[in-house]
Amino acid sequence: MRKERQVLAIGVLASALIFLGLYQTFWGHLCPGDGLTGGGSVVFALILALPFSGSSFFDRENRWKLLAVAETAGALAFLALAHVDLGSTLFYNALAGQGGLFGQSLPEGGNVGPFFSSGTIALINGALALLVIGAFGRLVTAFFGASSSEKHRREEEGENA
Amino acid sequence: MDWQTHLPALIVAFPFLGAVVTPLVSLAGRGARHLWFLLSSCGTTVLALLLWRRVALKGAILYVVGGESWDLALPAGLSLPPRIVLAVDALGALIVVVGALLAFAGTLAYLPSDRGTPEEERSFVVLYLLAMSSALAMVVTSDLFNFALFFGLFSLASTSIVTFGKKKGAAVIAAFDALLFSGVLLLLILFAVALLYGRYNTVNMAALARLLRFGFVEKTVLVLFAAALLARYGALPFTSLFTEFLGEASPAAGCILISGTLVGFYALVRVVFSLYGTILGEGALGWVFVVSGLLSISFGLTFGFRSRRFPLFPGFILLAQTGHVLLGLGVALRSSCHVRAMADYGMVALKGALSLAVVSSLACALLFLATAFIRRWTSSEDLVDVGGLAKVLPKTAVSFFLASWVVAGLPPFIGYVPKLLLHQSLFAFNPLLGAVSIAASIGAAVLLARFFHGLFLGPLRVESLSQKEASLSAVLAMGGLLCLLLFLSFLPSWSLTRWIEPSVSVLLDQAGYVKIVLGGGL
Amino acid sequence: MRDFVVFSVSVLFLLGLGGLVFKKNLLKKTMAFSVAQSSVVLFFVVLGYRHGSRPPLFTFASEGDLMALPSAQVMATATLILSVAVTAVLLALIVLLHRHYDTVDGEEIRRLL
Repeated sequence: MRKERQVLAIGVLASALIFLGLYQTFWGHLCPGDGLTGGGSVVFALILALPFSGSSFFDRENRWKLLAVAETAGALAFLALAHVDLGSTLFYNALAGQGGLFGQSLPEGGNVGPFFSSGTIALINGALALLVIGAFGRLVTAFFGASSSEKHRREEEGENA
Repeated sequence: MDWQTHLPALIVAFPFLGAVVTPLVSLAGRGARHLWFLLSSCGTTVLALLLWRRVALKGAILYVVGGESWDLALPAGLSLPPRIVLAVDALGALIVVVGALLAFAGTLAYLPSDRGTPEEERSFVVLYLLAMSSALAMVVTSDLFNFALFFGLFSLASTSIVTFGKKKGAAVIAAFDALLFSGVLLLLILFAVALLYGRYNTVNMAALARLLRFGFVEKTVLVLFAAALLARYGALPFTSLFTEFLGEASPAAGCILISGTLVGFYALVRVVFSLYGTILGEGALGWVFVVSGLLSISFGLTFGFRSRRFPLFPGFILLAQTGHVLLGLGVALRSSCHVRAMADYGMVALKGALSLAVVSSLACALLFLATAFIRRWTSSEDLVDVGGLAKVLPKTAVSFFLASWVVAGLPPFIGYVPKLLLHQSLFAFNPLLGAVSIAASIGAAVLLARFFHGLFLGPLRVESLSQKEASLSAVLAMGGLLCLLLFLSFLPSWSLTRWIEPSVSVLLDQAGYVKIVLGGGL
Repeated sequence: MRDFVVFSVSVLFLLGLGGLVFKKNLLKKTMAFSVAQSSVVLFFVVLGYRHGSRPPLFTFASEGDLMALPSAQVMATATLILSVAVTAVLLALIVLLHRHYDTVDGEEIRRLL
């Protein structure tokens, strides 16, 4: 029962962190945030959830591959978005104010801030967040894997002794 | 606008793309990965040469990242640049070219055959290209916070690649110490950037140069920058970790580390001359450089003579050359407030310092490659256990010999040009300093002769070699650097007038730098 | 008030540096580095603060009040992420060393080399 309560608490915290990370990533043009910090928040959620992860889909190998794909995809998307408008400069916000998806104009005065007003900024932030999640996620998984394998090794040595 | 307008950004983006795509290319096998590594590195070097050519033809290049126009740093109504600005002048172009060439030599020297698992090899290539990208980014950016971020990234990548393929704890503990130290340097730089940002509301170097006053905060910032960048350049008394760290590096890793020290030198002169410039006055900084230079020379030569571990030798020699460069910089700084002194010996000292920084990086990289390969082939690090290698490794012996000649500053090779300029200017500034410099050069020549004799002459002492002669990658890497040094040696006047003098002119022209960055597009 | 914060930041940084220099345990050195880097992050946040300002969110843009500088906060978070990366690599190197030498005492490791 205690373990279930722990898992519930961790789940709530991790969910909150993931939402925070997504907010920082995709509203980073309207508040101090970007893909780096948003991705970092999601990784913190991963750090919380790792010791309790029991689902077979998220076993170490699958998780590792998924994160590797995320890292490469994020980096490639980041570079691709940088070259959206080669007629001006790299990272030029070609979609801003152009209408359509991500090109809405910001209404005057303070407001919540429409999501689709960032142009390429939200997309670049998203790509960066994916890169950070992939890279840091693999790092954290490696640490967790290293400490668990170390624990198993010591347990086995204890049994054999 | 043609595609070459994007060169300052492409210099950073291209190796980064190489790093990102490496995991995908690795799926096709080891050969594909090695080919991709070579292509990425070669492509970056070609871009660097194109950048230098463009700067030589059209003058300094400006690039505003994310801006509507590539050269509009100050949009209407703004007094401070809102975006990251990349600015490459003659000095920046020179350092970019030399840095890229050093990194390319490291790529050629990379031997995947005796590395670890495919995952380790893949990670090595990714980190190497990231280190290359961040080293070049540090040169082209004029945004100090951006510089700090790339400084951190370079430290991370370069310290990590030293540990690859190594089972020895010495490499890992050296990497730990180096990374911790680089982390502290990063924090010092960030502190300095934060102080400047708090005072002037900008982190762009040209904007700061226009606004800077020399108060207590600015002096604190100067101390922080000088300490961090002198340590990055590998000078004493701020660090002796670099020699030990370089001694543990593989041939490829060592080349990128040496290019990193050259970038450290560039950052140091940029901060001193372009950021602070004339407001420094006749302060103590010049003497700090002179003292640091003397300490570096004495440490490098003393420990070089005491040491029997030949992998450490290029590090000690590089440290001694760093000392000479700092002597020249110190003298140039001390004379910068006096027109007569500057004309008599200050300019000459600066030319000597800049040209020695470049030439010694190339020559010490060649020395390093030779010793690193010998260590790999003989599985030994003690000078006593090796000897007579000229009989079995003639190409390596010739490379080492010619590199030694360049470092010693003896004619007819290019090494004598910067040494001559330095000795002349130091002697004119202070005869005692000149005498010390000349004595140090003689000491370096003796040290080089000692190591050459110990490694290559006498009876063959090595029982077995894992290579009969230098492998193709070793020949390409060492041969490439050697050809470059020989090319410069055949054309010393050309290299001085086309590479060094324009670099010195832009370095001393602080107002020109500000105008390039802030006046663009108007 | 700002002077007090700058003083605190300096003390924190020096404490971190002190730990780096005087501690032999590699983990403690890494923790000391984390303390030093948090002082830099704090410094950036403080620099962006304006007395009586609102958080720099676009929602508050119309209310005419002073806003804290968002760029300082972005620089702080970027510094944080970079420092986390450095700390992570340091810890990875410690794991490697511990695997080989079964200790995280720096002097002990150098003795065993």
